[in-house]
Amino acid sequence: MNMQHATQHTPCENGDREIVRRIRMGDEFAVSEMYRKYARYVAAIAYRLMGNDTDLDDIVQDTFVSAVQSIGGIKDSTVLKTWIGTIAFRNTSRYVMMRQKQKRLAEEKMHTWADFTAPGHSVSIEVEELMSRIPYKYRAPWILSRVMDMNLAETSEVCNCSVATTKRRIGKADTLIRRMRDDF
Amino acid sequence: MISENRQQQLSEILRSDPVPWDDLRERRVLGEIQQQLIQCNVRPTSRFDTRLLPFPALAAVAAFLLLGLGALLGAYFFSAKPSHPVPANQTTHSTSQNATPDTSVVEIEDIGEATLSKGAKIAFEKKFKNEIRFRQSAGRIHYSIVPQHNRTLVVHVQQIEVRVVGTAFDIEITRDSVSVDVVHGTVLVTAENKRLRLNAGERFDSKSFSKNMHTPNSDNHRMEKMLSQQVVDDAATAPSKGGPKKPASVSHEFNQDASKNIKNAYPQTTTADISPPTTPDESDVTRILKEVDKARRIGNLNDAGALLRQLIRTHPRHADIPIWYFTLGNVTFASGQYRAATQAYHTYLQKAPGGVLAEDAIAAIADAFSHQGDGNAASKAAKDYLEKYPVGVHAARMKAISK
Repeated sequence: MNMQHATQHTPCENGDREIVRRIRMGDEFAVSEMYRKYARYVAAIAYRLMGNDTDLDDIVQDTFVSAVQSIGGIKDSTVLKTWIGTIAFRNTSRYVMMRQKQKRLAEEKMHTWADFTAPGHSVSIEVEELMSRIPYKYRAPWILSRVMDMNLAETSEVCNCSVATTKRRIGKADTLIRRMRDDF
Repeated sequence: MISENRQQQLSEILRSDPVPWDDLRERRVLGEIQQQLIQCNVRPTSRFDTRLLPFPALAAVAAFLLLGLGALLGAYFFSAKPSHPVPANQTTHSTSQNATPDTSVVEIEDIGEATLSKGAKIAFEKKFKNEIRFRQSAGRIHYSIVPQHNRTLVVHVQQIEVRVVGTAFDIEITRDSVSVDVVHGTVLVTAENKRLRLNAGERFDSKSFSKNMHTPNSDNHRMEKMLSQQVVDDAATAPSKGGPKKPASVSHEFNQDASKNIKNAYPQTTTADISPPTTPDESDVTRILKEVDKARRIGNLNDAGALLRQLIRTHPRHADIPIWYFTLGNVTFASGQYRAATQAYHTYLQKAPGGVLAEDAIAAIADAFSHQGDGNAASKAAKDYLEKYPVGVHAARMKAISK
């Protein structure tokens, strides 16, 4: 979801507050509302960070189930979007790490970011390979910021690290990309 | 080396890769989520996210833990028991929240929120492990508390104490009285050492209560007798003496007998004192909505539609009416009744023009017209959608329909 789309939901803060209140009260329809509002956003975060849609459904599902489960802990219900984004980021990171571990165990020489067999994947192999060479901790904030157009504050919130660290990691990813061969 | 220009190009390439997420996938995952929530009985928890605590609050907590430790050591060495339980997490200052010209919402930690009307005042008093106390000193405040068995909200208003666990209610302080209106759930009001249980739709008025309690007549005697099940002596549970105590009689269930008793107990009072339930019976609404969900899950869409229509008919002033119309639209759409679906979505838009589902409703109207074979109406609805949500979730499909 880009910024332009976000502005379409001007009353979203009040709507979010209402959604959170209703979910806390046990309203099942409110869960569907929250899902319909943010499913695409969560899917976008997961897909951009994973680079493929193999575990996309699972990540989206886990994210919303976790969100419902822990919605009692949300302090400011007007930041529901960022809060869900944080859960999505955490879940995606878990899947990325899990896959990296599996691949290391299998001793396969495959890069971690891309899955070439993924359906509907239109990015070239060179780009995927290039991205896979950037460590996940630098790649994740870079993608959120440069590809998903999140601002610095939002990116740091979603990545659960300070603005300074986020800035440093994005900068590091930029540097790594600049050092790579110009072959995509 | 990749130049900055090429780096920008890389971002563009990645951005141009469409997220493989369509309506079908969205619905399928939603179904799985709902199934998981039901199967695993996932409920919202009240876990307090300590990461969200600001540093001063953490410092305050640490300071009070040290103070508590000091107090315990002191009590041990001087062999004197503390007269009051040590708060588990007490802040040093009392915050007072004045309402803005219209209304203002104060979040009460993780247990709910208070909506302050103009001129209303609320101050934090104390926090214990199992309860949190506030004092309302003026105006009208609507409290909405999450059903949460392990923590109780206590509001002190003048000499009256209101205890709640998972409910919604209003407290209003006027010049000469205090009133408590229960929207749903149950609250326990303690006044003049008597405890009174109020259910949804019932009202407590301090003026009438006091008048009835101090008038030595047969009605008063009858009232005490009839309230024997709800009114208990509160001498032992006075907060300043015995400390916090978990209310034993607070219940989430709607107690119709209690309601009858209270009404009978005040035979001479008018509806202004003990008003009849004005809010719909939420348990009935919840039951029907569960039946709707069940019918939808097993694919019995006609029954689901009929139940929703019944719900709309029986609770025409319910706050969730727009959502019910939207759901009715979805149900009728799924069962192929596109004309009925269009009407339901239109009604949703009329009732909640800026609602969170407005975007989906407009898109669904376009879809419904398209299925009916009314190309012009479908195109018009799709254009309307694109005008309002040019980069919305359904934009690509709407573009196709508008052509």
